[in-house]
Order: sequence, then structure tokens, then C-alpha cells
Amino acid sequence: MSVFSDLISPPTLEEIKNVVKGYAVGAGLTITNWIQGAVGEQVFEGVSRALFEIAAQRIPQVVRGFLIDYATDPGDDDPYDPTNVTLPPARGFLSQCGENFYGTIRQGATFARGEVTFTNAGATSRTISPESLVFKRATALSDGTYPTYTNTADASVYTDPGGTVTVPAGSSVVLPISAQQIGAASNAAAGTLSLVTVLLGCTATNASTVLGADREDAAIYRARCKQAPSRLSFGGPEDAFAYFAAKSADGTPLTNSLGANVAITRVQVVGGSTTGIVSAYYASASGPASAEDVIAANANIETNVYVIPDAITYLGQAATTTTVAAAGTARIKAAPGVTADAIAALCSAAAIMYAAEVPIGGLDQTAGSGYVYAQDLAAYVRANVPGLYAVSALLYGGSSFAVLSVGHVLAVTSSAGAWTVTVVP
Amino acid sequence: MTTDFGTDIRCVFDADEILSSASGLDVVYQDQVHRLLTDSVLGNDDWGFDVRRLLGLPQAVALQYGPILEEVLTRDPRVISVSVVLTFTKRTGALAVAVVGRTAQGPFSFVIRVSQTPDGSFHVEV
Repeated sequence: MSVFSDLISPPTLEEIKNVVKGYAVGAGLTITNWIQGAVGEQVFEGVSRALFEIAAQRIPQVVRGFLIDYATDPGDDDPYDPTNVTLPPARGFLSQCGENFYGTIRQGATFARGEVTFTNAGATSRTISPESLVFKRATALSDGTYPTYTNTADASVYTDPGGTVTVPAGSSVVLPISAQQIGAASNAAAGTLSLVTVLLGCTATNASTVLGADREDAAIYRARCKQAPSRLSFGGPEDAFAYFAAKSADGTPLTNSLGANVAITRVQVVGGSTTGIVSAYYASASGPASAEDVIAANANIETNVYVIPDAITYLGQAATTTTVAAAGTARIKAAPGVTADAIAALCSAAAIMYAAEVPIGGLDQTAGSGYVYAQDLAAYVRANVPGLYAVSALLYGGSSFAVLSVGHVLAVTSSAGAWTVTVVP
Repeated sequence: MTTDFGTDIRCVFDADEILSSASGLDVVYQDQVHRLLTDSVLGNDDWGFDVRRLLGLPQAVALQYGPILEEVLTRDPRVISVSVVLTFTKRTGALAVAVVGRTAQGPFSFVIRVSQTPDGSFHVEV
């Protein structure tokens, strides 16, 4: 082990005990035949555990905290601390590292916000005050519960005495609302919200989407931080385009016309030195960037931060989807609850998720056109389905690779039936 | 079964300023006392049985814990056999746990007396 790996990866409690034992034996103490619970043995246990807490956990944690590739915030997956992902999301080492060393702020989770049209079809007028109404989305979350929303304060709406608004019988009013649970899980498509609060003759619905955001993914945030130094160069480096597609000049998340954070996570920049045209293609983690995000990114790049050198024509646009079908085989050891059908479904889901890992234009690009390799997809499936081995995959029904053209982003289709899983006794 | 019971820091309720040592049967004796005053130790959540817990039970129930305490004490590999007798003092409600044990180096015995004071704390004598 190198000094570096020793500093970032903590030794185990047993390794610490062996170090302490080694010193005790070296001092001539015969301590190799412990009776558990004896006075000296418990002193040794206590010293070893204290050393483990300080030297084997705190110090490596601090060292990792200053390295962007190893730092995490509470709530992130941490390969060195399995309990970290169970903590409530909060600013920690990763956010501090990103802000202080890279001048880039990590996008936090936001409440889904939007508007509903409240309609009073009853016989009497209704006086509404902020946070007096509750709305619910028609579609449930994965745990079976339904996101809820409440009407938020707005001085331009609640203009009546006491900070209320009166809705006469037979009329409507548009009320701003906010989800009661933070994050993108409460996002709601148009027409999916309804009034829960019982008011005879009254209904409500949303004419537009209601959008919030999850905290920025740690891996995406780290990549943004590494692009941040490109802000200092206005020679049009590729990383500058990639950075400003989703971040403002001060490192805060860029927002689009809908008020949502721009979700662009992948950018491909293709420049023609003979034509003076620079083309950029944008994609989010789920596929081509939305129209609103493309507009916001282009405006930021072209107008706000002056990334485009003089005499250059810049064309920023959403990437185009290239859909590739994936199939494969895999093996897994038998265990309670493990069935071939269930594992095949997991393989299919992992294969679909792999698309987010592939850059626009694919790998091994030549003039912006590259490849997607079945072996990489197979490796991803194996890494994301615990216990799986001997994984192989094919694309388009029989190919070991697929071509992604310039500006094309990968989408993977797959199904449980496309995966043959052997459960090994 | 080994007859070398080793050496440890002498400590029944506390160690002295120079951390004097105990060896042989003295080591077994102090560890046996600890087993009847400590439920768990570092590395083992089911190491002993704190007899102070018995003060919260009806006396008729507490007096039946002899075999359980004997099993706890014989977890020590140096102890060949042990017998435990519990008695309550009627006037004070104090519990006396009398232990007589046998090892390869000879017998040992002690009595732990526990009682609860009016303020809720425990008084322990050995």
C-alpha cells in the first residue's frame, strides 16, 4: 500500500489491534492468550477502538475531503463509508471542496413549484389564505404515497385584508403552489393535480408542469468542478462550452425559462477550423436536452459569458437520439429469492441506464463520430447487478458495437426477455 | 485446561495509583466479580450478568436465577465448576450472591451484596 492509499483508505479495527499488539509484544508483554473481559484486555480494546476512531476513520475522512474525486456530501454514495448514503442530504466536504477550490456551487434540491387554477363552482364565495389548501398528484410515488402541494404566499395574489383572496361563486383564480416534499419526485405534468381540501363546489388543476429538482448528482458535480478552470480562458476551449451550458459565470446552476435548473450534463463540441463554425450538442442524463435548456445554454454561452471567440459562428442544439437494442446473457449463483426472470429484469434496467454513461458521439471518436461497445455495456450491467458474472452483451441483435454519429446521444432499449440468465446451483 | 492464569492489572472496583498486578487465582476472582456486575464488554454484548438487575424483580423470581448465574460464570475457561446461592435480607431488601468455584489452581469464593438506596443509586459490596 502506498502512503496515499493508506491516507484515504482506512485500516480495519483488526489491523489497528494488531499494531497495538505488536508494540505490546515488542515491549516484552505476554499478551497472546487473552481472557475476554479481563481488565488489561478491555484497556487494550478501548485503546484500539479509540485509535481506530481517530486515526483510521477521521484522518482518512479529512484527507479524502480535500480531494475532489474522493470527497462526498452527506447523503452521497461513499465507497469508504457505507453509512454516508443514509444521512440526510447536506453540504459537506464535496460542496466545500467544489466551492473553495473550483468556485462552483453544487445544485441543491428544490421544491416543485408551479400554479393551479382554483375554480369556485359553488353557490357562495370562498376566502382563501396562503397554505390553507392541499392538492394531490394523480400518480403515486414508488412507495405508494402521493405527492402533496399547498398554496404559497404571494402578495400579488392575496391582496384582500388579512392577506387573503376572495373567489366569488362562479369564478377562478390562479394560485402559486409548492410541493410539500422536496425534490424532483414531486414533479407533476399538466392536469395531474387536484384539490384535496374539501370545499363544496370547488376544484383545482394545473395547466402547466410543476417542476422541482433533486440535488445535483455527485459525479456530475465533480465533472463540472474540473471544467471550472476553463472559465478563465476565452479561447473557446471545449470545457468552457460544457461548463457554461449548465452553470452561470459565478458557478451557480443555470436556470431556464421555466425556472428549473438546466439539466444538461453532456456536451459535445465539434469545431470546423476551416469553416469558422462551432457546433455544440447538448444532452441531459436521460437523453437530448429540452428546448428550454438549449435556449438557456445558448444564451448563457453566447451572451452572458462571451465564450465565443470573435469571427466564430456558434450553433448550440439538442443532441439527436440513436436507439440501440441490447440483449445478453449472464450467470448468477442461486440464493433465496433469486430467479432468472427477476435478474433478467435487473439486467434490462441496468442496460437502459448505461446510456447515461456514454458521451454524445460515443467513444473513440473520429471527427466527432464514435462507438458504443457491447463489452462496456456488459461490464456496466455486471457492476450494477450484485452477484452477476460471466456477462456478455450484443447490440442490434448480434453486433459487438454500434456507431454514434456526431451529435447523437445513445438510448438503449432492452427487456427482461432479451436477457438469458442462468441461475447456478 | 491451562493452569497458568496469567497476570493482569489488579482491579476489582478500581486500580491503585501504580496499577499493581494480580496473578493466578486473584485474576480469576476479580474477573468473576466483574461478570456479575457487567452485562457487556467491548467486543461481547453478552459477556456477563449484572445482578443489580435482580433488585427490580419479585424476590421469589430473583431467587431462581442461581443456575443462570452459574452458566454465566462458567463461561470463563479457567473455571471448572461453580455454585451460586442467592438470598435476600428481609429488613433491607439487599441481595447477597454467594459464589463458590473450583479451578485447576484451587477453589475461590466471594459474596456480592447489592442494594438500592432511597435516591435510586446502587450500593455494592464484595
